[in-house]
Amino acid sequence: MEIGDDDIKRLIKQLFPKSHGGSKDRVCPTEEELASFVDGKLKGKKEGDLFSHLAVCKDCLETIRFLRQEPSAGEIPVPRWLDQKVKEIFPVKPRKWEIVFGGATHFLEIIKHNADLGLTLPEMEVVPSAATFLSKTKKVEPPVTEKPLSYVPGKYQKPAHRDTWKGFQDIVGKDKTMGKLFDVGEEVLFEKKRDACRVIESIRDPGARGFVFFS
Amino acid sequence: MSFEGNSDELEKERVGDSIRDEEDIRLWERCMAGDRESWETLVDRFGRLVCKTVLDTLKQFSNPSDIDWKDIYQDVFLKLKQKLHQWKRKSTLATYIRAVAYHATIDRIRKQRVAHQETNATTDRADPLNRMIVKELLDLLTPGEYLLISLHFLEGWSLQEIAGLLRKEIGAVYTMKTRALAKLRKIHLADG
Repeated sequence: MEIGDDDIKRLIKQLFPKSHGGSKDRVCPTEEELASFVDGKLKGKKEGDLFSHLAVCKDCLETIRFLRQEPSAGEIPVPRWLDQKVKEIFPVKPRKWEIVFGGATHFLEIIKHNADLGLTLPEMEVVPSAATFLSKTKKVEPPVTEKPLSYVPGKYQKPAHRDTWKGFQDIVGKDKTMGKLFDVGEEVLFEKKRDACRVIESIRDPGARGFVFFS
Repeated sequence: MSFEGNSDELEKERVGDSIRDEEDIRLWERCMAGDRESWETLVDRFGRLVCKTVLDTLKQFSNPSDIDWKDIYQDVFLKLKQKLHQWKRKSTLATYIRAVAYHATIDRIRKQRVAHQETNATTDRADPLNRMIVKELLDLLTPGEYLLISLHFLEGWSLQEIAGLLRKEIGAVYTMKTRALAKLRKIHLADG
């Protein structure tokens, strides 16, 4: 007996589940599996598993369909501030040269500072503790502040210099220092830094968070 | 001659792609090592692709003016920060990032819809009876055949579209369809 096309269509409609729907207890493939299928790199059993999944999961089917399309043409300008914001999302480790250069600069500063105090080389502490370094730095006259306190809301700009920027990050990221307004010329001791830093500009934004640029 | 020229161009394109893939892998490795400049390069290189993916998805599934694409753009990179280490190089980095961007956008559209209390009732194919039927059908048909029948007869996809999805020649899809229908005819006859 020959079966007609209509019969087979009816059979399919009876046998196959009605429609694609939301997945409750279904585990969808990972984004990488979907992407690798789109790139033609998924082979063998994994490809078969994906086919069976696509037959019942509209979400993944739509994903594949979308990824197969070429991205639309034309330039879309991403605002610079947005790119900058996104770049700041990522965890930052200092570069190797920053660690080496930072260490060398720190060492030279200690030598120079001890020499200013009239200490000879054998008397010098190569890496003084923060407390001793602070007590010694108090003997030195504080530098004259370069800038007056002037903060115009909306016109505030983050400092461009990377070291200053790191200091800025440190200070706004700590609970102890958060919201505190330091005086210009005041010395601030950071937990993570061995030496004290001198405040060169101190401002307060409308959100009452203290921002400090230090030397 | 033109055929040779085309094959040369294809070869160049293929070589270009593989070089780009290698570069992406090296960039990814540096990012995983926590290199700041590499993160910035990654944003520069894929930012536009992410932006286009987000906007294309919004256009396709929602009204782009309802949702601020800039929020999603940031979400995508936040997700990438959490997920990038999961990339096992089984796909190109670009396609993987597109998939992440697409899902991030879809998630946001869904949240927006829930917020507007637009519940969309869907038939769940994952109920026990359906799962049993699917299992039996899969014993009979190959996964590819099952998908083909499902899409062609129930979802109304053309064989051309299915060939595109399965990355097969249209002739191969016709053969698959014929084979699958023959199998289904057999069980129809067996069941009477």
